[in-house]
Order: sequence, then C-alpha cells, then structure tokens
Amino acid sequence: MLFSYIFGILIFGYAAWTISRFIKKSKQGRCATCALQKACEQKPSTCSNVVQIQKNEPQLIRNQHI
Amino acid sequence: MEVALLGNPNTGKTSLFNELTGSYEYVGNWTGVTVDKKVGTLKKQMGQLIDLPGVYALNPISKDEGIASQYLLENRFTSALNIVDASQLSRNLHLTVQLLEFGKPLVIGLNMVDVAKSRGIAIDVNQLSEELNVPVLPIVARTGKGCHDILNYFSLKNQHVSHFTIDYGEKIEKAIENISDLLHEEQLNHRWLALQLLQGNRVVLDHIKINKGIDIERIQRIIQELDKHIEEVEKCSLVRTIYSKRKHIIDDILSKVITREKKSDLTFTDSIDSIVTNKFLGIPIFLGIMYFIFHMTFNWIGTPVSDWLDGFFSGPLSGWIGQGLQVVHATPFIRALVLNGLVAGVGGVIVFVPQMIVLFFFISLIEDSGYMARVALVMDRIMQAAGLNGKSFIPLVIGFGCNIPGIMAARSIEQPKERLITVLITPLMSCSARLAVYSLFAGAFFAKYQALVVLSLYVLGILLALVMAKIFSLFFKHEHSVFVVELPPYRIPNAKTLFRSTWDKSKGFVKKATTFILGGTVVIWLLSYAGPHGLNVDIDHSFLALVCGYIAPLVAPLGFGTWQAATALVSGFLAKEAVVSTMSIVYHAPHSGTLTGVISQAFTPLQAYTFMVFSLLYIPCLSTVPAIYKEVGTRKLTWFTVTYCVVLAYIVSLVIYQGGRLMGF
Amino acid sequence: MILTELKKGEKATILNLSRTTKLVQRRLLDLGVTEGEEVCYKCALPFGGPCMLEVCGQCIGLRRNEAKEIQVVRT
Ligand SMILES: Nc1nc2c(ncn2[C@@H]2O[C@H](COP(=O)(O)OP(=O)(O)OP(=O)(O)O)[C@@H](O)[C@H]2O)c(=O)[nH]1
Ligand SMILES: [Mg+2]
Repeated sequence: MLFSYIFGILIFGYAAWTISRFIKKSKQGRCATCALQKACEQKPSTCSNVVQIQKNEPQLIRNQHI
Repeated sequence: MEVALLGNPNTGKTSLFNELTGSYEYVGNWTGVTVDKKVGTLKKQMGQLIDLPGVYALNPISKDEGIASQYLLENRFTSALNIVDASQLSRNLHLTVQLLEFGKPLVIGLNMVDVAKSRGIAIDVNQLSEELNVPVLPIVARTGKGCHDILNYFSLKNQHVSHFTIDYGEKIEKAIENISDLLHEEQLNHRWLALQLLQGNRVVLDHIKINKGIDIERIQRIIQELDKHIEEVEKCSLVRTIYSKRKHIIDDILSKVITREKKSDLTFTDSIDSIVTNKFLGIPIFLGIMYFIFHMTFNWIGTPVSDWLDGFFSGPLSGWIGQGLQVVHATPFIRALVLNGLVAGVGGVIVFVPQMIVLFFFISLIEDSGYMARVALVMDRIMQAAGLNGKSFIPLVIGFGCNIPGIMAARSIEQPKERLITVLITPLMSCSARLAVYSLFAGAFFAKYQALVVLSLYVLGILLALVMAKIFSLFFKHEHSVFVVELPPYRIPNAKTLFRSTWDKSKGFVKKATTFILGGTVVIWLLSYAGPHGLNVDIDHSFLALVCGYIAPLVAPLGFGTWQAATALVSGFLAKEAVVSTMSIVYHAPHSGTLTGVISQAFTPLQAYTFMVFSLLYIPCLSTVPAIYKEVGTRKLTWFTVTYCVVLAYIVSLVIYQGGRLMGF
Repeated sequence: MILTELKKGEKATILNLSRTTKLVQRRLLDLGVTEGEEVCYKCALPFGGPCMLEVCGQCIGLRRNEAKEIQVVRT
C-alpha cells in the first residue's frame, strides 16, 4: 500500500513537472531559441531589431545604387 | 573571453564550432544552415565561442545575415575568428577585409585546405599572414585537423590587433574623414562605420541613429554628394567602386600567395548534376528519392523492427511489469496507471523509434551531401508559379524533420514577402511527429502500400502549401521575386556528422516521448479512468468521453465522429505524437491485442486516410506557434496561421471523405 | 549577346550586369560575379526554369529572366 502511494505521487509529480516545463518553454516565444538569452533580456532590442530591419528592407534595396 | 565566428556561408563555421566546443549544432552542405546565434563553451574553459549565420558581406540582405551584422555592432566580443574557404579565397577575402577594417583582434582560420589541395590550389600561408598582417591558421574543420592550433592560439593572452588599411582614393578617403569627424561619440571604429555607411549598410545606419548626438542628415548629404561625384567620374556606383578597390588589392595579394596547378575536381559534381538537374528527370528524381526513403523506412527496415518492438512492449514487457507490480502488492489504480496509461501510451510512441532513426538518417544524408541546393534549383519553376522562389523549398524540406527549424530556415530567403509566406506555409509540412500517426494507420490499413500512402501525404502537404502560397501572395503588393542560389560542390557525407545528426534527432524524439508525452499521457489516462460516478468507470462514461463527446459531432462529417478520435485530435495540438499515445489509451482494452488490431476494427480505410490527412494539416503543434510568432512578428498573423490550417484541414478532409464515399470506398 | 543565347557548356565574359534586379545584382556581387568575369552556361531547366552557371570556380543557380538581362561576349 505504502509503495502504491509513493509510486503514484512520483508518477503524478513527474507528469506535472514535465507538462509545466514544456508549457513554460513553449511560451518563451520571442527568445526561446535565441541562445544569448541573457543579452536579450538586458536589451530587448537585440532580438526585435531584426524584425524591424526586415520591415525596412524593401525600401532599402530600392533606394540603393549598386 | 568571447570569440565570434564569422565567415562566408557554408565555409565550415559550425563544423569548427562543434569541434572546438564539443557540442552538436546543425551542419549541412548548403548556404544558410545556421540562422541564429549559438553560444558554446570553448574546451579547457577558456571562454565562449559564438557561432553566427554566414554572411557574404557585412551589409545584410536576408534576415539571418542581419543577425550576424547586428551581433558585430552590439556585442563586445574579445576577438573574431574569421573562417575562410581556401578553395574560394578571393570571394572570402572581401569579408575578411571588412573585418580587418572593423579593428578588433582577428585571426583567420583557413578552412577546407583539403578541398583546395584537391583542386590544385596551393596557398602560402605565411605569405598570406604577412600580407594581411594577421595570424592565419590552416585547418580542416571536418576532420578536426589543425583545430588544436586554434585553441592554443586563444590560450595566449596577448592578441594581435591588425592594422590593415586600403587606400580607397582621394575623394572617398576625404568623405570617410568627414563622416568620421561626425561620429566622434561612437565607440566602434569610425573608419569602419564610415565605410559601411558609404556602402549603404542599413543596420549600421540604424545603429548610429540611436545615438542622438550624431548629425545623420549631414552624413547622408556627404554620402549623396560622393555618390553623385563617383557616378560622374567613374561611370560606376559608389558601392561598386569600393568593391573594385578591394578586389584590386585582394587580387594583388592572391597573386603572391596562390600557385595554381591546372587541375579540377569539379567533374564529379558536374556528372552528378547532369543527372539530378536534368531537364526532365529533376523532379521525378526528387520524388523517387522521397519514395525510396519511405520504402526503406516502412517496408524494409523501420516497420519490421518496430513491429517486433510493439510485440515486445504489449507482450513480454507488459507481462513482466504486471508481475512486478503484483509482487509489491500495487493497488489496482497503480496497475491501471502503469499498464494502461504509461506502457500503452508512451510505449505506443516509442515503438516508432526505428522508423524515425531511418528517416532521420536519410534526411541527414540529403542535408550533408549538397543535394539540398539542387532541390531548390529544380523546384524553382514550380515555386515561382506559386509566387515563391526555389529557396523557399529548403525550409519546407527541413520542415519534414520538424516544423520549427523549417520555419526558422526561412530567414535565409532574401525577399521579405516570400520569406513571410514561406513561414506561413511551413506548418503544412509533414513533420516526423506526424509520421508516428501515419505509421500507425498505414500499418493497420495499407500494409502493402505504406510507402506510397505516406508519400501521397507528403506530396499532398506540399501541393496544398503551394496553393496556399499562391492565394496568400495575391494579398501582398507585388514585389519582384528573386532567385540566386549558390550550388556547393557535392561532398561525400561525413560518417561522424551523419551519426551525430541521426543520433541527436532520435534522442530528441525519445526524450519528448519520455518527458512531456508521458506527462500528457498520465493526464489523459486519469481522465479516462475517472468519471462523474467515481474512479475505474467504464471508459465510455469517463470525463474524457463526456467532454470530447461534444467535440465529436464537429468532425463527424469527416468520417471519424467518435469521442476517441476527437480526444486524440485535441491532445494532438500539444504534440502530434500525442495523437498516437492518446489512441493507445482510449482504444486500450485488456486482451484485445495490439493497437493496430483495435484500430483496424474502429475505422474503415477511407476514414483512416481522411484521419491521416486531417492530422497532417489541422494545426501547428504548441511549440511551433511561438516559433511562428517569432518570425512573423505579430499576434494577428500567428492566429491567422493557426486558423487557416484548421479551416484548410476541414475542407480538404471533407472533400476526401465525402468524395471517397461517393466513389464507393 | 545575352547570356541565355549561349549553348550548353559555352564560355563567355560578362559585359554588363546593370539591367538585372537590384537585389540580384547585390547577391551576384557577393558571390564575386562582376563585369569582366568569365561565365560558363551549364544548363537550363524546362518551362523557363532557372539556369545553372559556373562563375569564379563555383556553381550558381539563377532565374532565367534575370539571366536574360546579362550581356556577355563569347570568349
Ligand atoms: N572537405 C571539407 N569539408 C568541410 C570542411 N569543413 C566543413 N566542411 C563541410 O562543409 C559543409 C558546411 O559546413 P558548415 O559547418 O555547416 O558550414 P557553415 O559555415 O556553418 O555554414 P552556414 O551555417 O550555412 O553559414 C558541411 O557539409 C561540412 O561537412 C573541411 O575542412 N573540408
Ligand atoms: Mg553554420
């Protein structure tokens, strides 16, 4: 009986932990895959800037003489 | 200490990174493999090594190149390690020159000396080092030859700052000087900044704009004046003039450094290319290769092994665990949890590991051989019809492994519109997790034609992606589509890389199954075990059956209106493998034999095929959604992607099921 | 003459690139493809598909309509 309790708690505990970790990981969104997480936290612009460049890009290419 | 790896694409930066840090990052023989910065710890704990996307020049066109330029501007690294492809020296040195102008300590890793040698290119390393005034270390990153010298170099404390300047001519030098004067508050090298501004580097311009004290307008006026002047005098744009000045110097250096024997090993590549990029055979060969891979995966290697594994799990293993639980007097609750929940659910996913290993092996083989860029070339005409370009096909192929790296790989596409559309359609690619669903159903219903059925699903995914791309492109302003792709020479895939890559991906699959799929399995099992009338209820009266019974009618027109199928689809949003683990639980009845047997009773072949199509399309999994958000940048577009997938899946499945019924299946 | 008029395997020197799209010009410049370089026209895919070139010791793939804007002279 005691074994069953311990075993049950272990399994449910592990299950809860894996799910919460997975959700946390998935939610990180913007910088989840960016390995320089610390740098990103200090300076949010590091990651978002790239998106900005992308927006300006068509313009940049048209204006430029090559 | 922080060392940044910089260099042209596909020169072996990541190969060296793996060698020096003992990690395993994505290596492949095409341009644009690495699309994000990766941090690793140098062996002997000397410091950090940063792997960056490959760039041709510091003025970025695509998004991955932007990441590298941005890194250069914003991170205070100690030293830069420039990887140079010895067989393509003249092109590679254009970047080296710009890095030298940047003025940080630099060391050159002269990679691919083996390739250069086989092409009859002999390089005088000492002379090159002298000419550029910077240390040059010859290496072969793939085998690790010479990599030790790089570690040794970095363990020396005093690092060499080179002074290498090119005289760009009176007018340009004057402008550089004038601009430098205006940049006095900037910390980065003024000459470098000025030169990048003259070349129209947008990232640099944005960077100095942050600094309020700088008179941007004056700088722009200087650039415009110079541009006009150069255009008149040299009959050639400013960017090109700077380029030719550099080229002149580089050619001069190379003439002293390189001795060329007349010898070429491109014939090997040529003869393969004459087949795989053949006018008529190109696309059939691609489909043939895919079919061959599925045939190996399902009919020859994967399925036989996995059937054996399945038998072992549901037979002896369950028996042993059952006996073990009896010995320790486990309660019926624990028995059910372990046997009907964990073993059935997680085991149901794990049995597909053999298929995954075979599939991953072949994907790695394609990635490391150089075929990927040829696929882009062969597919370009079709992609053009869909409003995209051939390069968009690379993310789609990567998406076959997992959609997330596929979505990120879109960064290497030059044109913003095409990049965005590629991100939007990549979730329709059949990832390896979905393969578990196909394995289950195709094994149960179409045993003889498994490979063909699976191929049809992959092709359906691609076709629908192209149709959607065409539709999406109608909503965008027309932009000129571009397609330029570098076709690297074929390389015999490296056994070590192949093994590591296959191992890594398979490990990921097992890890996912034993962590988060296991967690989900426990929850699903609990919901199927408990009901309004207490525990251990008949599964048809469990909470799971009650709740998902409400969803079932929604998918009834598609042919699978049971609560079991609805449950599987709901949990499949978390991860596609969960479709299989959930089915194992909800269809698990004692003494009913393997899951395959039960499933073949519960579905007709047409329903089974429709179910596979629906699972292929219906929603990007939970981890993919943030990846999409990260690339598209807006919540609205992310929601749009999720929604259109659901709608598309519904319509296509409806057409297949109702159409199939009309035809009498 | 223009690049696409070359026969399979023929070599030529690039005379003028300036009529191609700006973005393509920049990429070609990145790859070292400029006026004066020798180019070998290797093959073209059907239905107006892209063509394969060998320039500066490397193979590149390029859209046919862009290749049509490149002026060359036979060597
Ligand atoms: N023959 C030979 N092949 C090499 C060498 N170094 C790397 N390679 C191969 O070159 C290809 C590209 O290697 P990667 O390390 O992915 O190149 P990368 O510079 O990281 O490429 P991007 O991430 O696209 O910029 C792979 O197929 C490697 O196996 C080498 O020294 N000799
Ligand atoms: Mg790389």
